[in-house]
Amino acid sequence: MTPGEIRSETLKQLRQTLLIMLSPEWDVALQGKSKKLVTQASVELLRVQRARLQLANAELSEIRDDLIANEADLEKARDRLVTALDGLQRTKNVVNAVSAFVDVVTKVVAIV
Amino acid sequence: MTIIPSEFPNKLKDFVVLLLFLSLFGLSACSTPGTTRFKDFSEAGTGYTNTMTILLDEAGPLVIDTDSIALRKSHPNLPTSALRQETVKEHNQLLKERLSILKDLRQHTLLLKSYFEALAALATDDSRKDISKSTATTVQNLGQLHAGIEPKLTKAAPLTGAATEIIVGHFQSSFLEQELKSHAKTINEELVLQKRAVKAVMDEMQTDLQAQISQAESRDVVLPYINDRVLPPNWEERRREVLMSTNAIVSGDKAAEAVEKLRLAFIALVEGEKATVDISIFLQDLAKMLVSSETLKQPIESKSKAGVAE
Repeated sequence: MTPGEIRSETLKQLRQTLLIMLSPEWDVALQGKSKKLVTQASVELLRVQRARLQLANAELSEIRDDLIANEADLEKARDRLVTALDGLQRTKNVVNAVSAFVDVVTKVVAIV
Repeated sequence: MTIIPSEFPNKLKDFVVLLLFLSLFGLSACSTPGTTRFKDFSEAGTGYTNTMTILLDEAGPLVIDTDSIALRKSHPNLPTSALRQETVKEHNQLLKERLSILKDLRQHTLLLKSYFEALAALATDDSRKDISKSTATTVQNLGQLHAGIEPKLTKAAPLTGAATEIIVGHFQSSFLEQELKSHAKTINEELVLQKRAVKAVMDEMQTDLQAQISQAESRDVVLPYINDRVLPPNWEERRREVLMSTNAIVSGDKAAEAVEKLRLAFIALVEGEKATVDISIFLQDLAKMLVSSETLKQPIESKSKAGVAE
């Protein structure tokens, strides 16, 4: 198992544990139990939640870093598309200008 | 004043017009602009990035709410103020870190969205149609300037428009193909990473939402039923809402599947194959899930306060 896989598997277990500790069955089971046990359950709930946040943050920040590493190339790809779009727009402008010019010429010729 | 010189031999003029006709018919018969498949892909990509942005916005409040549930449940059982102070400080720090990561992911998603939008803009027919319309008008006017060629050009005008559309369409299509091929590695890597990102975000959201549903069930449904002599008046309604919310949860694996569909469609596009991608059902499911998470925020009018499920 790679470190990433171990982290992923641990995170999965922590999520399942958290859901058990927040389930109606858990709440019902703790009813009427000793204060010591209820306190211990609360402390454990917080430890599980913290560990889950820490590991998920680590996983998400690793993905974030990989995505940011791809950003320069992605920006380049986007910019090339935008440049091509500008080219198409310029073609449109040129054709429109020629069209307008010919339109004027046609009117002038008609008068002459 | 004439555009076509008067000394231009009449037969040659006819030949030029004939060539124009032939080229028009030739282009029309053998090819159609292939930009639709790029448009479909870019629209699916834009839909995905729009949804991902909303998810990233929702992921923050969702994880804070779940953490608050855990803190509230534990609060009466933490014996000292020092311990409570340490706990809330540590949890706040972790949540701030989470929010910062989600913000970065959102920022990156907006960049990906701008890529899909640029692709969509280039793949749309609007520019092509505008250019062809202008060209047709120009040809008609040219025809009016030269009486000898007028009848032929008048007939040619609509076809010239069509030809321009096809030519520009081919330019668009071939550029798009070339662009996708030249950046295939980048986009493929991006979609692989997006798959990981959406799975990680959705796995967390699934846990947060499931935790909140469980606590709503415990607080508003199960414990009042066990402990209260008289049930709250809207207990049945709340019970139905809470239990139905469970069905709305979308798993991280399902979200990753949708991105994989997008990636496979991209590979098909790069290889020049027909790419069909439909992630609309997945997007609808996500919308239902977000509505469901809103429903959970409306607690029952109950004697059971949030602290009862402690």
